[in-house]
Amino acid sequence: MKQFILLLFCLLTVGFLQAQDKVTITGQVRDGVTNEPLVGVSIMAGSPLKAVGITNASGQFSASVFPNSPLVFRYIGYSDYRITLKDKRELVIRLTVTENKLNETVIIGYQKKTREITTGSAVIVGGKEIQDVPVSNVEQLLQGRVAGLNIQNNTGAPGARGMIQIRGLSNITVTGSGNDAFLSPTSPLYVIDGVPIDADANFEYGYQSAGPGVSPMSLIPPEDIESLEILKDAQATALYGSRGAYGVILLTTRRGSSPIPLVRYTGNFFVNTPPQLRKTIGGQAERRLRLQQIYGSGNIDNIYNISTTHFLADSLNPYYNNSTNWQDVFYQATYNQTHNINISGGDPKFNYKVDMGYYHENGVIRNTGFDRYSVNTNMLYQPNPKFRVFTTLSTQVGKRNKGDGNGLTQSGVAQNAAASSLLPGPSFYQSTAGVLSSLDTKNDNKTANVRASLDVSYQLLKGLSLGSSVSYEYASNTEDRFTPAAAHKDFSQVYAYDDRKFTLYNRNTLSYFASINNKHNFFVSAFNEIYSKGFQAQVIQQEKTPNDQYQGPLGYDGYASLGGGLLDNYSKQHIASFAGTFSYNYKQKYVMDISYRMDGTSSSGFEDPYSKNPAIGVRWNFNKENALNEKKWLTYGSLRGSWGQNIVPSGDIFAIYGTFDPRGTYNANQRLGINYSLLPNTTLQPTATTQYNVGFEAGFFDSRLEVIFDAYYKSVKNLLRTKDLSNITGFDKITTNETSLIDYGYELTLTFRPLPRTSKVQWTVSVNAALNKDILTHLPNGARQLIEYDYTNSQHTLFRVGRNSLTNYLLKTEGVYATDADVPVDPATGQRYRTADGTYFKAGDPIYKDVDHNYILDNNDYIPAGNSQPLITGGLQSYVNYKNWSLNLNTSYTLIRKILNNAFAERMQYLGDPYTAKAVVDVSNVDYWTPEHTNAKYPNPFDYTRYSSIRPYRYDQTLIEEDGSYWKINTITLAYLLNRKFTNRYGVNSVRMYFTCNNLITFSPYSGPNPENVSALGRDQSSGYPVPRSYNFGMNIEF
Amino acid sequence: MYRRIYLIACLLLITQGGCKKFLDVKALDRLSGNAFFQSASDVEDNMWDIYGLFRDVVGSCPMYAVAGEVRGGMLGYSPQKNDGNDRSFVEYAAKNDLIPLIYTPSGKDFWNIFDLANLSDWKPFYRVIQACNILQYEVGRRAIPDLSNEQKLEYQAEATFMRCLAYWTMVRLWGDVAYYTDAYHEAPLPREKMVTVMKNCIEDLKGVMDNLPWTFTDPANRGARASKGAAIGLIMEMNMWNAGFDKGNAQQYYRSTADLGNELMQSNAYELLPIDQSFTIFKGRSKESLFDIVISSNYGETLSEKWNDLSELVVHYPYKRPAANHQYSFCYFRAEYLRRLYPTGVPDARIEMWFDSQMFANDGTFLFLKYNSVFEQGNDDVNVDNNLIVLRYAGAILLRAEALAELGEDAEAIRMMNLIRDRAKTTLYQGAGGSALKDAIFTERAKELMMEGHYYFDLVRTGRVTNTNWCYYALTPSQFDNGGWTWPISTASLDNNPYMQLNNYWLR
Repeated sequence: MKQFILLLFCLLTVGFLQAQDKVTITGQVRDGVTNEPLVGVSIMAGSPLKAVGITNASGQFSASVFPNSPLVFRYIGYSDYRITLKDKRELVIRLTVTENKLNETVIIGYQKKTREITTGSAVIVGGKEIQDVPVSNVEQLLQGRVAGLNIQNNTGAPGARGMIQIRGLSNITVTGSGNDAFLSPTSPLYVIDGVPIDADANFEYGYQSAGPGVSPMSLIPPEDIESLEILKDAQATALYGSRGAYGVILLTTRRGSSPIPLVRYTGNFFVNTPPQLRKTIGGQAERRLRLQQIYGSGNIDNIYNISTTHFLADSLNPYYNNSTNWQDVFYQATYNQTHNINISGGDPKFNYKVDMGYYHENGVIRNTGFDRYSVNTNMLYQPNPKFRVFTTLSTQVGKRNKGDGNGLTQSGVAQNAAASSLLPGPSFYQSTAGVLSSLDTKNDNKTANVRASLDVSYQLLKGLSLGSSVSYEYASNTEDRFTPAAAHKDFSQVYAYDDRKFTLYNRNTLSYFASINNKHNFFVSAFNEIYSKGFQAQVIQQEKTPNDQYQGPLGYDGYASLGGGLLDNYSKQHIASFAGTFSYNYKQKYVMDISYRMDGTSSSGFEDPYSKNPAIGVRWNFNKENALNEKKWLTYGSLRGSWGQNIVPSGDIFAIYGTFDPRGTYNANQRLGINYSLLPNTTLQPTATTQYNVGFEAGFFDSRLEVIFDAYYKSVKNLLRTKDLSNITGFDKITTNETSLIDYGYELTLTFRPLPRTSKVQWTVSVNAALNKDILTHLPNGARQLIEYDYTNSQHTLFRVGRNSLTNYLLKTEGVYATDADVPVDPATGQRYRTADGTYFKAGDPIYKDVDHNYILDNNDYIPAGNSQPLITGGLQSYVNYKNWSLNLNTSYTLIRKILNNAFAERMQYLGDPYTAKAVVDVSNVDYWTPEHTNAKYPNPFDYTRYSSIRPYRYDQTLIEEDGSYWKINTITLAYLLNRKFTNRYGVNSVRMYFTCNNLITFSPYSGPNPENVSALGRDQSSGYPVPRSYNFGMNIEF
Repeated sequence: MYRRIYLIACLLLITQGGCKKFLDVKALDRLSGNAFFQSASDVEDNMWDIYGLFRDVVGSCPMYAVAGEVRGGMLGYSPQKNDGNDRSFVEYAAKNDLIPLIYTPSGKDFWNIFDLANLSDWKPFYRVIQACNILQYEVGRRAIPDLSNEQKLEYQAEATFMRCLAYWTMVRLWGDVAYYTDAYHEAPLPREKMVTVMKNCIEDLKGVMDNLPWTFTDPANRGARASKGAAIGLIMEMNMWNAGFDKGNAQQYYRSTADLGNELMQSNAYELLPIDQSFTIFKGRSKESLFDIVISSNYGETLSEKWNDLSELVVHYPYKRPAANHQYSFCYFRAEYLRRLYPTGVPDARIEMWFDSQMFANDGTFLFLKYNSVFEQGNDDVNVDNNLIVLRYAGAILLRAEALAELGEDAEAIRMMNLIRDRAKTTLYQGAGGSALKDAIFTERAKELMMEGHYYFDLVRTGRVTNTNWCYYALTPSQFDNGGWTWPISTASLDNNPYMQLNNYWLR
């Protein structure tokens, strides 16, 4: 006891003595660029460094330190600020953001970590990088920014969503046919502020999707995004479970951080212009061309036919004496705007944010557009370090006008834009119902989305904390469409669709952190997760309202009612998961993460609903080794590797247990029996993705050069595929897991800062590239190959084990027969090479490779042609800042990918029928065969008499398969920050103005208009919605 | 502090327990398998569906009429085609020229309404088999609260019966067939020797037949549901089939048939109804029925087309309406054949009950009245409302007679046959034993079961199909050995089944 008192006394004395020499310093810490006060900056002093204070809510601090002692101001994400205290007692410190990838904070498995101790592959994109471009879907701005994230903005439809893939193909399921063949999307999982969101919602049915078709991603205003984090490998995504197999994108919205409430206004005013349209031949020139073509045939019957084809013969009739520019009827330049107000404030104990957004875009195709209204709020309350509450509430409404299209394509427009110029322009009294339908169809399509979440955590003991997160999302989609009588064969039509969807999500976490001597750091956590999802949709479709003014409410008999009712896509799904993770690091030099997750889903059957998903990752920060510790040239460097498995619940209870249907009666007793269309597969497994990843990260010369390199090998097993069964089973089909594929590839990101930190001009250039190859490894029944026949355009898909997964299966076009003598002759019969119906090939016809050497062009002559999936994707970004000016450039590229130019083929096919009133395109720049020009690339398009047999511009040939590589300048932004002193005078904190050009230009060898504006299977269809170019003027004002 | 940790651990455990229930989601719009087989009524409904599936397949075309009767050749094609449409497929079938029945020749488009191609498609039979296997499997592994163990065994035995019935019908049509008894069978299989298939079925059914009741308390189920009598009747038929093809073991099969027949008769559960009530027999669900396929116009339970009924080819107005285009039958029994079955001067109540004065008219005025219990009084074109009788007591007795004759127990065989002859009010058999007796029994069977879909199959199993006395266009022995008695198998059977082989006879 005595000793204790003595000790206490000594300590007090020491403290007392030291305190005597200390001085009190006060001051404020601000952000070096935005001038915002920084809250929670730690102030450290002495040697070794000890924390002596922390900044309060207004960035103010006060600390007592020894005079002349070195002071360090440390804040996460910012460079340390070192100062040696002299006489000054009042300090204003401006911290600058560290531009060093290592210090980024990443969130992996709902845990915040510094990048240094992350074993997975993750990339962060700051919200600022994507905020100066007004687009309906923020996803498209990520294009080219992240190595391995392949985004193709393949539709320009307002509010629609392009294609997104992380690390290549994960699915080969194709639905639909022809141009509408739709590759099932494998979007990554989005986690918005800790709440997982299904971004593929409303796209289950490909082009045939009902409803407004607004993706949840289109409802997020870009202005509200703080940062996006893309998790690519299996370790990083391990704890996200079910949808994590396709990668995870974490989206963090803004938080309040200023004690003085900040009001930030962002306004954009932009013009969307339609891309260049195709050249057509109009009026008299069109008629002449057609007549010349018919006279050229030398057939008297055909020439006689002219007199019965009115639009050719009756040139004096005003109805046929026009030169209508049909494309102009549909396409327009539009003026659009967005407004966003973000109010935020608070301190670490309590802060809040409210973001209100409005987005308005009219489509470049008339009668289409997208409006978004959103209010997103969040609030954080943390009265003491132990207890924390975070809530969010987001409400969003998207209003989308699809015209008479389906949201992704506008086939009505395409059809009419392809009409002959000789016909008169659209008017109510002409029979141009297609035009009326495109322009006069009334749409009122809304998506309403409400999402609320609550996240509570409490520290039970030192290091041991308990957390719980609950979220509920409710979405309602409605589509109301009225087609006036004039546009629909004299009967008006009413279509009403509505659906509702909910997701309830809960996660409970228990975690423990321990550190032994600051050397051995342990982190253990366990959580369980529960999802409950439901969806239901219904439709009413009726015809023949009394008139075009009377659009409802309606009541009908069974005759005029075109059906509807509850749609068959009702779904309800429950998921329960348990996960545990263990992390260990030694002095943050050697890091190891192990995680294990069990996922049970209601769609994988209750016999053994849980799939087990382990993951492991290791990292070695070799710059911390003594040998490299002091090296100036190496800022940081590390090697990491990971392995893990993830699942995607696929299939449904019907595929596992079968469906039982009523089938009338037997002996006056009810019959209930199994449905024989699908044999239950009691051993159905979820699709599993296993991934190996090796990564290297290093920064050189004070982070002026940074390198991130990743190599991965991803195996996608148990892909669901429905196969036909032998008829001795009595069933038609079964869904099995027998299809697998692998992806492997390399990703490289280089960041340069060519100018020194002290330079007035700051310039950052970042280049990334990803090479991904996919190989099909297994098919049902152990088949070596499988051909998915698609007779709409005869563009079949070949699945062959050992090759790329999706191969076009086409006729090989090897040129054009210059003369008749070039056509090969069958030595056995003396007959020339001919088609199956006996038409002989002749000069001007395409040379189709006769694969089976039977001198007949038939179905055996198809060959495996190109790969519709890109091999290399990437981008280049540059950011230059000089004083108040900044110039931001974002480009992206896709290399080595085959596109089927169906739009071109279709236009050339119109030339093969001079009697049909279709548009005649300008073929002057097409290198086609004529008797004078025999060495041509393209066959003779005018030989219409043999056209239907030879079909020289058929879709199923390699002639129209082109390289779809492109390099695109996505955006250029020039911004100017008004002088603060000037703006402060008017009570405005800052004003920033910028000019942005989006989708500026695409460089490509592709002959079509836009190599990106094609379907995921690389088919360029004329009904696709063109991607507009937009010019934007915008400003940020901060009060 | 530890208390808190315990509390957390407990909470975690509680959530674990509720999970299995949480993950069992039942769809609202459709009935998924995991929500089925939950109660006795589910099993009952599913059992009735199996019977219904069997009716669906045998009713999908005139299967019993064409494969069982027409193919024997004793039905002539009537020269008067009163509705003007072409049913000449009966001539093709009689001449064993079956390919045109499967692939309708040009100009014979009217045949398509008969869907005769279904006679080459065994897939619907495998539907019955899968349904039986699934019911057996699911009932066996699930705890169904309101179903006792006895009831479970009974349902499983019923399913076994229906499976064996399907295999028996298939074997008679196509010979060798793929055989399996596992639920949710997916794998392709080669065809199994039909003798083995029948052997397996016999073993299978013998094992469970005691779980079936002799009779039902609800008379509506009599004949409509598998009883022990139905099972015995089917085993007897299968035995007799195998006896014809597995000659080495024929005696065992005959013995088994005779013994089972005895057991059936000892049970006194079934009886031969008086001949003047023969319409009740064919109306169905009678005390003579072993197993029927229920048809009821009242409840809308019919074959898929009304002309798939056995009566279609041999009745006309007033048993078919409207009068205008039903003045003649489409077929007639050849007079020479009928004269052989019913020698002149021998009384037989069946002549009065089943034929009219035009019995020996070799044309469309012929009328066969076995199926005349109900006919529409209005002017609707509806066939008579009989059940399809698959197995009946009289047939079983004749099978027993046949087996006994083969075993050399002539006296008992004659006694059996005379039960039937007595009921038909004809003279009792006085003749010799041996082959004369066998022929007499066969004649009796041909008379008694005429137009019930047994005739051709009886010809096949007894080898009489090569005998022009019994088969109008008889097969040669080599045609018979090469499988000329089978039906062609659809080439669709080759799809996704590398082990499959079709019937070679039809591939020439």
